Amino acid sequence: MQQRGAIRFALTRLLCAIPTLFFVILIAFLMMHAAPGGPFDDERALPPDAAANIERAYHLDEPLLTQFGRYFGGLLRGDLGPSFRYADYTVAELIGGALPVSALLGAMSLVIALAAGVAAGVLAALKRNSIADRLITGFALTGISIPVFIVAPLLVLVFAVRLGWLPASWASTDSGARLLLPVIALSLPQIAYIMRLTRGSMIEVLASDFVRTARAQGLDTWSIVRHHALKPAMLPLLSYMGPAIAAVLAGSVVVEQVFGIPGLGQLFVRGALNRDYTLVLGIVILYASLVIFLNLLVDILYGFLDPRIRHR
Amino acid sequence: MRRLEVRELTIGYPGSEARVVDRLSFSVDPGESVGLVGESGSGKTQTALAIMGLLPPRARVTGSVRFGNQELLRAEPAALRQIRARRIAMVFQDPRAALNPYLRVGEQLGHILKQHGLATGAAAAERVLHMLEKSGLPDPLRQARAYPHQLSGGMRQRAMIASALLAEPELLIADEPTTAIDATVQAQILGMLRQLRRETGSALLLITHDLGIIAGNCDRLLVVDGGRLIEAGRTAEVFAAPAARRTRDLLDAARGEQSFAPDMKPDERKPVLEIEEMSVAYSERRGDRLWGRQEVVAVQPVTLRVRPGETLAIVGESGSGKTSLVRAVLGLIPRRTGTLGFLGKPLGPRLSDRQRAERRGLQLVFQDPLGSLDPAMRIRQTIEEPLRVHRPRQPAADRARDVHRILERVGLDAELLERLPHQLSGGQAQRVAIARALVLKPEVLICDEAVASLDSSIRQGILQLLAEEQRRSGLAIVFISHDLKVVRQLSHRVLVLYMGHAFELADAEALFGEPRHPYTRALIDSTPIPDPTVAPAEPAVRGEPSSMLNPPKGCVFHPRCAYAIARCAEEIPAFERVERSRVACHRAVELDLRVES
Amino acid sequence: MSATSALGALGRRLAGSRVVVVSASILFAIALIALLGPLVSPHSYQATSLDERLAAPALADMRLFGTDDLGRDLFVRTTMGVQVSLLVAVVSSLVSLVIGVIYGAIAGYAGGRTDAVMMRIVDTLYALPFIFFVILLMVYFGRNFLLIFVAIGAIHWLDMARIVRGQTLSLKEREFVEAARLIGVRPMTIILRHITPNLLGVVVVYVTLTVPQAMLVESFLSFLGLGVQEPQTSLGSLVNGGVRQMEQAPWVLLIPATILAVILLCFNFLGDGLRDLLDPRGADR
Repeated sequence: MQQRGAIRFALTRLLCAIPTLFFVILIAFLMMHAAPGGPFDDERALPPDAAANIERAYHLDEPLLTQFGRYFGGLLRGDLGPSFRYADYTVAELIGGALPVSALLGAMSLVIALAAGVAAGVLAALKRNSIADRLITGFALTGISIPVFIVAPLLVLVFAVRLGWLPASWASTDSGARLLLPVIALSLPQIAYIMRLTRGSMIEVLASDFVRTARAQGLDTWSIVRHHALKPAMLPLLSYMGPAIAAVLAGSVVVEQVFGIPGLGQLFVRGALNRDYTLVLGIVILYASLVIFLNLLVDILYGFLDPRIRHR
Repeated sequence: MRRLEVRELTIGYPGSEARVVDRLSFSVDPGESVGLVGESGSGKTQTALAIMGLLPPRARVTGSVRFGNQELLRAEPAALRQIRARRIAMVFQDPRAALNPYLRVGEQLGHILKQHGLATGAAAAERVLHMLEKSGLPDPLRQARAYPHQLSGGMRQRAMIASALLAEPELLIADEPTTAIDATVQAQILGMLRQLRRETGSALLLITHDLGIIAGNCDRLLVVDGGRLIEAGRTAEVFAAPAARRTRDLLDAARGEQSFAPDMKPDERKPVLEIEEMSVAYSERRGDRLWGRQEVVAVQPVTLRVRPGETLAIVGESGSGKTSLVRAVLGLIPRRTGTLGFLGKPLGPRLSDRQRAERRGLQLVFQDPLGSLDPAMRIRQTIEEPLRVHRPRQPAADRARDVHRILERVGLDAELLERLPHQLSGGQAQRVAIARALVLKPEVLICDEAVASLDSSIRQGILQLLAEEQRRSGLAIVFISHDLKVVRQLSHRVLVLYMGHAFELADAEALFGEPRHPYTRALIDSTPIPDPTVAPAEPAVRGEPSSMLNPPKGCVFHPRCAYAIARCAEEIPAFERVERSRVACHRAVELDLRVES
Repeated sequence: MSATSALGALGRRLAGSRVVVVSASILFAIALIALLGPLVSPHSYQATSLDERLAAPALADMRLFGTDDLGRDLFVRTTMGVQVSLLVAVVSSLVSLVIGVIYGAIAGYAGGRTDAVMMRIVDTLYALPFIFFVILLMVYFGRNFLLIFVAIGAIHWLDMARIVRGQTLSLKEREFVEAARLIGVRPMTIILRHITPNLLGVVVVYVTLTVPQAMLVESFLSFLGLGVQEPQTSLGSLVNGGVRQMEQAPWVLLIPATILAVILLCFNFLGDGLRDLLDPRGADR
């Protein structure tokens, strides 16, 4: 009964998400097919009938809409089609091989980033303008400003090459130690973002009238943060987490390249450069669905967390 | 029981020489009720925050605040927390912002008991419910489980007061506790506060700009101006013989005895504005189903004529439909039914349906003077804009002359022309807004709570300005207000609205002397009288307005009306002539609601 | 005129903020050195010298930053990298500004169905990974300097449009806009005279924060080998070149990496400082 507003909100969002996803798929498909040159172009000129055979095998000779219909039908059954390049594999198999690695690294770094970022952000907001705050904000801005492709090689240089503590590349070992450097490289900028976001929203909430009321009621700092401030201060973070989770799960091209990790990011870039259209399309659709699904999830959570939406 | 002793309290902020509070000294004895009066910027809220230790860290505070034998200004945070809520508690002005929107009302109160180790678990819940009940919240169990936004403004402030009195403090500081609340509800809350104080014997420091509230609630009063104490004494004595000139001005403004309305011969000229059976509606989500919307009628069909040279006041509390009514007249929102005539010609329902020349004659002055001026435009540009739009070929010299002329008429200096809005005071900004509205020489000026956000001394100047304009040009004014005192000073006729229904329309004199509708009488009784010798009236009205989504059957006022009979719950009363008034009440003829003076 | 007066007031407040003044000065100094450096140095950005490969930084012969693996002068190449990176970042931010402000202001002011459709389009584009666009553009048109501007601008206008739309939505409900409508000012004039000048603060802050993001994207494209073409260079290309040499000649990586980081840091500080000045909420606690 009480949750009617939240349910209505969630249903509205769901109704918006479905057409969005459909249009994303359509646009990606059309753009991909409008691109000049196919995967077989730069091979030595095939005899015309051989080329026609290949085209027929991949249904490239049909009208575009028929192709889209066929592709979309496949999608609904979870079939992303065959890879243009790796003739022995389907796109689903290729993605299935790369996704777990990227997702594992991404999930680990995000958990670390959330714990460290929220704790440091709350601390900085509580001790605003103190030395601790300045250090934390300074670290956060630096973390945002130094790109991953600088941090990752530097980590390798220091911890793998000079000190020799940790493996430099994925292929060199099977132990869990190979996770460490990539996870650090991935989590540093996330820590910085989450920290800044938390600090900013926490400062805003702490300045609000209802926190002043809580102080007038004699509540101590810990009670104020725990009971009054934490929940509203975390709401902006929730919005950030939707796209962030999607990006992190889909893998970082840079980190995967530096450490030689066979993840989704690498697969995507290589597919794009090789004009492996079905593979690229599959990954784009996977990523877009993730973004849309996670944003939907965030919206729904918002509806349940913010009483003003819940009871509307 | 301890005594609060403030000595030489001085508050300043870095980057400014001015002292917000300047060597302020006063005391509050146990059980005593003291009023702290001043206009905005007089330092009264800063004083309260200093006592509570809630000033921002960058504030520079000197002097002394002692409670019993404990110095509060230099107390450790832990010691201060012991004082707050248990010894000194505070009620803030705006309960919408002061209560946490993410926490149930009951939880917020429960945390106070837990923090101070007064009660936990079932005992705490019991105590919270008991306190909510004593604060006049009907169905306290439901209210405790509600989030603040689910309560009405009045209920929220009751919950706020309940939270302040929960730990049985010796001193309660209330900062403008009823300013954000409708008049009929304000009277009930003040009555509840008096009752609770009689039971607990706690002292009260009541901060307000309204001398009427002080008269009925405080033993002593302190008047502050520019951070300084300018007068202090027993309430009755100060009211009888104010010593400081500022106090006299404040009292004059509070009594509102000066009438500004120019003499007018009624029904003489053709009306400029004719509102015929016009109603306004908006659509709202259905509360009882997952989907769908329902139509909510904000203004029921109403017929009104406005004549040149008259001021028609539209009076009502929040949700009465007074703002919707004029916004529909202006074309800012669509009307549901009815027609509008302006200077004998029909007016389209929406602003986009009206020609530019048709828009000229109807102008609006808003409540918030700063919000109605473009922050990025200089005053000259703001006043020039209407001229540029309506007389694009006017020579620059003529335009400059028009701007100077109107500026002089609204009583502003030409040197303000190059300023930006944020460099003006509230009163100046409102004069600029009036100048912008009058520069096109409209026939009708609509003022939507145009003086509500101004201090009483500035308010008088604006009222005078409006009256002078009317005398000079025969301007018709539609004046929307919730404040009967102001309405009485300015208007010739008054329309009373309640939940979208017209309840009473009469000449001002008749309405204030011989109200015909019980609601009108309740409104009059709800206005605090700035006279300590008169006991505060208990208006004959209960509770708060019903929900617009689910209005009561019959007369919409009957659930709150002290005179309601069976018929009132069945049948909607017609809006009919009774002697000099038009009234919508089944008992209008038989009831005698005259106000003795 | 109204816009300039608002800018003037902003400028005076900016001059009072240490963070803003310091970061703006550093940026200005770096830009100045990047412009003048190549005129002073005897070396050219593309001349290779096989016997001077990977030389360490030295004052002699003005090898201030040393040389790279082809013996090219790193100081001159770095100044060029700064020029190219700044140019790409600033121009693409301006592209995103123009598209975003126009799109967002129209959606926000129009409201209703127009707004809903326009924002659904933005949502759809948001869900597509941006590399997808960039790579497709490269495939369509081949690698092209101009394309990098367009690609980066085309990504960031989405954020700008959302922000401007939100601001416009709240501005158009403000009373001064209603006052203008009552007077009879035309909708387009209201957008230009009353809404846009009041968006200025937010837009300035946001552009300042877009520039470092655009630089990061440009560097990332260089990392993928899709950036500017040799022998031309950008900070991103230099860093990537440096990564290959970091074990023998760390300065080849560290010098451009530090400069890139300092520029990004300064822009971020500048943006933060501007935002604090424009939004004093919570400044009291």
